[in-house]
Amino acid sequence: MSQTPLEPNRSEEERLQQFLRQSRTSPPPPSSDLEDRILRSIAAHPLKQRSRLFWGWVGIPILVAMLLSWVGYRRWQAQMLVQETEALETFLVSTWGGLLGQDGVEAETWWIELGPEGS
Amino acid sequence: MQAARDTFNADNADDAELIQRCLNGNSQSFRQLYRKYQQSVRNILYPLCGADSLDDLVQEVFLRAWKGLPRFRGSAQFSTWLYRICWNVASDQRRRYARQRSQTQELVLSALAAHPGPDVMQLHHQQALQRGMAQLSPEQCLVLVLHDLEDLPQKEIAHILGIPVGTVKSRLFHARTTIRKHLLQEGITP
Repeated sequence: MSQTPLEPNRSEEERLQQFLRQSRTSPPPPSSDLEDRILRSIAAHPLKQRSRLFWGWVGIPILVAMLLSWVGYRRWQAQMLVQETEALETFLVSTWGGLLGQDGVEAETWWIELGPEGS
Repeated sequence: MQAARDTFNADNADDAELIQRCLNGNSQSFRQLYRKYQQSVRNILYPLCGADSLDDLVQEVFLRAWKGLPRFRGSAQFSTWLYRICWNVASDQRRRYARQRSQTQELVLSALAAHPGPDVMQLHHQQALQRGMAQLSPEQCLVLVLHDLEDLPQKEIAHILGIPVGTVKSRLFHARTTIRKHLLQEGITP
């Protein structure tokens, strides 16, 4: 079974890894006061639990406002749909009425009335 | 395997508890986190930035971690998150030193001379390795350190760096190839 380029000879890799571990240079030890220095520096920066306050006082109202906007938009959209449907119905009725209106019937009637005279 | 998993879970639980105590204002719990991870942080920063100002960089890492604790959600391990901060601090440091690159490399090599190994051959190997690592890009160097020296799994390294596992494999492959080639040039067959 051939090996992919990224998976060369395993023992070769293990030998290199072992060499790296044996030949690595350890970092110099920390200065004796480093730990206290770090503790002092964090004491100067007390943790702010801002995130929870933020989500409590600002985040939730924002979410509520977004929800209300969405609901309002949906209702407005539904209302517009009803209005459009009504307008379309009105248009169809008026157009249909025009097609079947008196003029058209009269014309037909006029044509039909000629029938008996000619027969 | 089960024992290792239990240890891993116990470590995570400990970290979560310590973090919670820190968030409740107990800064002494942060001392425990520092003691637990400071050696790994030093091991990661040292090959990337050298011995010069190593303590300052370690301090920067832990200070950033402290400040970021309220935003740490615990979806990843604390160590993964901390090593990511290490990488950010190291990158910032390298950018600061970008104009003095050769000087930085000298510092890395001189750090070695300050801490000589037990014998001459060991010292020769250490110096050759340092020179080889200096040829790597910072990204390759970090992957090599995390995987081959700190023994982190590739998946976790991918998570730390925010890159696909395939990219980790590729960087590792190229880093090892470069190191091996350099060692051969120096007459060392690992």
